[in-house]
Amino acid sequence: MRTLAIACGLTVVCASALADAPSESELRFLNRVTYGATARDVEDYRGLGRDGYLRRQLAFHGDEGLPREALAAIAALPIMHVRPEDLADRVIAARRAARFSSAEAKRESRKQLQKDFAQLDFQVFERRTVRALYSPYPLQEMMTWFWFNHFNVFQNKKQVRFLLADYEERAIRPHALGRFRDLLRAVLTHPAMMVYLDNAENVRGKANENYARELMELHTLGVDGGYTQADVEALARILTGAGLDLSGRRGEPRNGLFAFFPERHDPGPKVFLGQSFSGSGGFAEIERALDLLCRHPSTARFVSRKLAVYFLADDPPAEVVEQMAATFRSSDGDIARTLAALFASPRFSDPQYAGKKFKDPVQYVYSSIRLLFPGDVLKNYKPLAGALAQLGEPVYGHQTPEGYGMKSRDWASSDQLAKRFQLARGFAGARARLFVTAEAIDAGIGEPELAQARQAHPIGRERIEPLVAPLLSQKTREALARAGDPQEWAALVLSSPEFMYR
Amino acid sequence: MDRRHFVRSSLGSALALAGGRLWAAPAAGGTKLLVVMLRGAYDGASLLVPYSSEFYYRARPGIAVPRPGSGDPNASIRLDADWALNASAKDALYPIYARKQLAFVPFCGSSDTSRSHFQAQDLMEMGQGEGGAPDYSSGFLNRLVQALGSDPRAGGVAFTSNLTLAFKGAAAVPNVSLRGGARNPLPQGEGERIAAMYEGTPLAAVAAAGIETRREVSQQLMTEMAESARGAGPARAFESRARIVGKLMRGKAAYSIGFVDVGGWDTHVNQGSAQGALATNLEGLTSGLAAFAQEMGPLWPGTVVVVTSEFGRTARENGNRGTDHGHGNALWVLGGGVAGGRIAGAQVPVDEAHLYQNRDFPVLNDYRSVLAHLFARMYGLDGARLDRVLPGAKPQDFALL
Repeated sequence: MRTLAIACGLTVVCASALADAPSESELRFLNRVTYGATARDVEDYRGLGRDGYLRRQLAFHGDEGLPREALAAIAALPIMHVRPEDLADRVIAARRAARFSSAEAKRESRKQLQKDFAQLDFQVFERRTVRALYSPYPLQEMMTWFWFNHFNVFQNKKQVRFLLADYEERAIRPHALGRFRDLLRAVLTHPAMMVYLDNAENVRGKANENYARELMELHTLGVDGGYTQADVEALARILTGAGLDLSGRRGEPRNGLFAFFPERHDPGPKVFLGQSFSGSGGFAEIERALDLLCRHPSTARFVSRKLAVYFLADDPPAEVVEQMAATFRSSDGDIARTLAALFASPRFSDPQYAGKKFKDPVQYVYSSIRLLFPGDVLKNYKPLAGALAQLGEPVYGHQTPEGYGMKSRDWASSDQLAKRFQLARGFAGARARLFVTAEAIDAGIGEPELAQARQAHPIGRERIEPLVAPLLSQKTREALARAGDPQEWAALVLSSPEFMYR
Repeated sequence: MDRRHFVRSSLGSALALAGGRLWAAPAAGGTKLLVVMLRGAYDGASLLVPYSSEFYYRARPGIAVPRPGSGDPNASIRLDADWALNASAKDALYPIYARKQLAFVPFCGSSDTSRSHFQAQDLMEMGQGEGGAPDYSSGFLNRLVQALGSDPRAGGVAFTSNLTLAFKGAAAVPNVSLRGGARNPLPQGEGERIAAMYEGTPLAAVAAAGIETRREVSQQLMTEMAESARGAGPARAFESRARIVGKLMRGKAAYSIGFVDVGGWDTHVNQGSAQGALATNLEGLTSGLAAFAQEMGPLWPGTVVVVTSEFGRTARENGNRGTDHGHGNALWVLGGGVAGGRIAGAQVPVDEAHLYQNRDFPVLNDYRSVLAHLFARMYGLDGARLDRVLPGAKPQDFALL
C-alpha cells in the first residue's frame, strides 16, 4: 500500500481528492518546502514520511517525474536545442552581413534578432515555470530560483539575454542542492556573470572592481563580512583576465563563451584577505580566492542566514543560523545538508514560525496556479509572466545584482495587495486564457473555444478546499461562505490574508 | 572665486539654527514635496561639472565633460565660475536653473562608507543617522508624515511598485505603482468582502488602502498609461512616469509627500560624457522633472523636489571609461519657491588634496542636514519634531527656501 502511494505520487499526477484531508501541520510544512502544497505533495509526504520526503527533495533529480505534457512543452522550446555559441555566431554573422546591406535591411535584421531574443528569455521563464508547477521535486526548483536570485543577472544588459538559458540550466540548477564552491565557480566561469558585472572588462592595468565587490558583498561574505576596500581592489586584480570570448577560440580554461586570458591577468603580487598572492598564478589565483571565500566563516553565516530568511522568517533566530552555518562549515559548503539542518531545527516546526512568511510574487503566482489547476499543464505562460511584471518581480528583470528581496517589507504594500486581488479574479475567471496557446489568442480566438477551455478546466472546489481550509480564519470562512459561484469563491481564497503567507 | 573662503563662510552660517524663519510658501494648494531617488549612484561630476578644476580633466581623460565656451558642440553650460551643467540637461534643466528655481548642493551625501549600493540606499532612506543599529521598519518620510500629524500636508504616497523603505513605518502610507495593472478594478461588493477577510489582521490597513487607492486612481492612470505608451523610447520612460506623478500630486490633496525612484546609474563601463549612456539617462531624468514641474502648474511655487543618490562615484575614471563607487555627490533641490540659480553648501576645490581616501569626492554637506533645513522651512517643524524625523541631524542654513 505504501509503495503504491509512492509510485502514484512520484510518477503520475493524482488529481483525485485525498482519502484523508491534510492536517494543518502537514500543510504548514509543505507550503514552505514547495511552491504551494498540492494533493500529490501530501501523498508523497505521507508515503515517505517526513525524513524520507526531505531526503528525496534535497537531492537533485533534473526533469525526472515531470508529466508527459510538461516534458513535451520543455522539449519544444528552442532554447533546449541551441547553445550560446550558436547565438553568438548568429549575431556575428548578422553584423557581418549587415555591412553589405541597405539601412533598411539592417534595421529589419536587427528587429528580427531582437524579436528572437525577446522570445528566448520568455522561453527560459516558461521552462522554469513548467518545472516549478509540475515537478514532483519542487524544492530543487525553489532553490534554482533562490540561487539565480542570489547570483542575479539582468536580461537587458549587453549579451546576457542570449546567455540566460544556459546560465540557469548549467551554472545554477545542477548545483542548486550541491556544493556552494561548485556553484560559485560555475557562476564565475559563466559568461553571463562576466558580462553582467563587467568582469569581461577587468584587465591588467585597467581594473574594474564591480564583480570583485559584489562577489564579496552579495555572493559570499556579506557587507559586514570583514573585508576592506583594499580587499576589493586586490580581488579585482586577481579576477583580471576572466572574461568573454565570442569567437569561441581563445583562452584557457574555457567554458562555452567564458574564457580566461593569461595575458590580460595582472601578474603583480597581491594581498587578499590577509593572504599573499605571488601574482604568477593565473587562473589558479582565482581558484585560491574562491577557496578563501567559500571557507570564510562570514560566508557560512551569510549564506545560511539568507536561506533561513527565505524558508523560515524575516528575522530568523540566531541559534538556527548558527546551527546551519556550523553544518555549512563542517560539510565544506554542502547546500543540501545546510538546508537539512534548517528543516530539522525545532524552530522550523514551531507554530510561531509557521505561516508567517509573506509570499513574494513568484511564490504567490505559482502557488495560485498549483492550487487551482494542479495537474492541468498550461498551454500559455504569458499571463503568468505578465502577472509577475505587474507585481514588481518581472522574471530576469531585476536590474541590480542584489536580486529581489525576500522579506515582508519588500512586498507587503497596498498596491501589491490590490494587484493580487485583481490577478486572483483573473486566474479564476479568465482561466481559459491559460489553456489556449498565446498564438491562438493573438490570432483572435473565438468565445466558443474559450468557453470550451473554461469548461475543460473547472474550478474544483471540493479538491481545493481541503488544501486551504485548515489555515483559514473565521472571518475568511464567513466571506467565502457568501461567495456567489466557484469562480468568485476561488478568487476570494487567493485574495485571503492566509493565502498571502506560507 | 576662492572656495576656501566659501567653506569658512558657510561653516559660520552652519551655526545658525535651521528653524526660526518659515518659508513664505504660497498658501493656495499647500506644500508638496517630491523625493526622487537615483538608485545606483549617479555620477554627479558628469552633470554638475567642476570645470575650473584641472584635476577633473586630468583624472577623467576619456569622460570629462568639455568646458563651457570651449567651442566643442558638447560643451557644458556655465553656471558660475566653477561649475557647469552637462549639455544633455540643456533643454530641460537649465531653464529651471536660469529661472532660479534650482540649486545644487555638491559634496553632499551620507556618512555611510560601505560603498555598497544596497546598504547605502537603505541607510539613506532610513535617515536615522549614526549610532545604534539601523531600524529597517522606519524611514524618514514616514517619520515626517507622523511628525506632521493632522496637518493637511501630511499625506504620503510612494510611486513605487512596492512601498519604499523611506515610507516604511507607523503611519499607513499607500503606494501607487506606475506600472500597469490599473485595469479591472474590483467591483464594490468584492472589495468589501476582501476587506472583511483582513479585519483584525496586521495587513488590514494595507489591504483597505490598496482597494481604495486603486479605485480612486485607476481611471486616471489607465488614460495616462495608454497615452504614454505611444512611441515612448526608453530614455523618455521617466518623463511619462513623472507626468503621472505630477497629475496625481496636483489632483489629490492627500498626495502631498511623494517618492519616486529612477534606476540605471551604475556606470562602471563606457559612461560617456555629454553623449552616451549616462547623458541619455540624464536627459530622460531632467525631461521628466521639467514635465513634473509643468504638471504641477499652479502648485509649482509651493512644491519642493529633492533629487538624491546613495553615494557619488570615483573622481577618476576607471580602466573602462566608467567610474566606480565613491562617496560625496551633488544633490539637487528644485521648485517654484526655491532660492535657486546657485550652488549651495560647503565646498572645497576639486583636486587631489581634497579627495576622500584619495579616490572620492568628500562629503561636506550631510544630506540629512539639507532635508532638516527644508523640512524646518516648509513645515515649520520645531527642533524636537525635526529630531524625530531626522535624529541628530545638525541644523544648518543652506538658504534654499
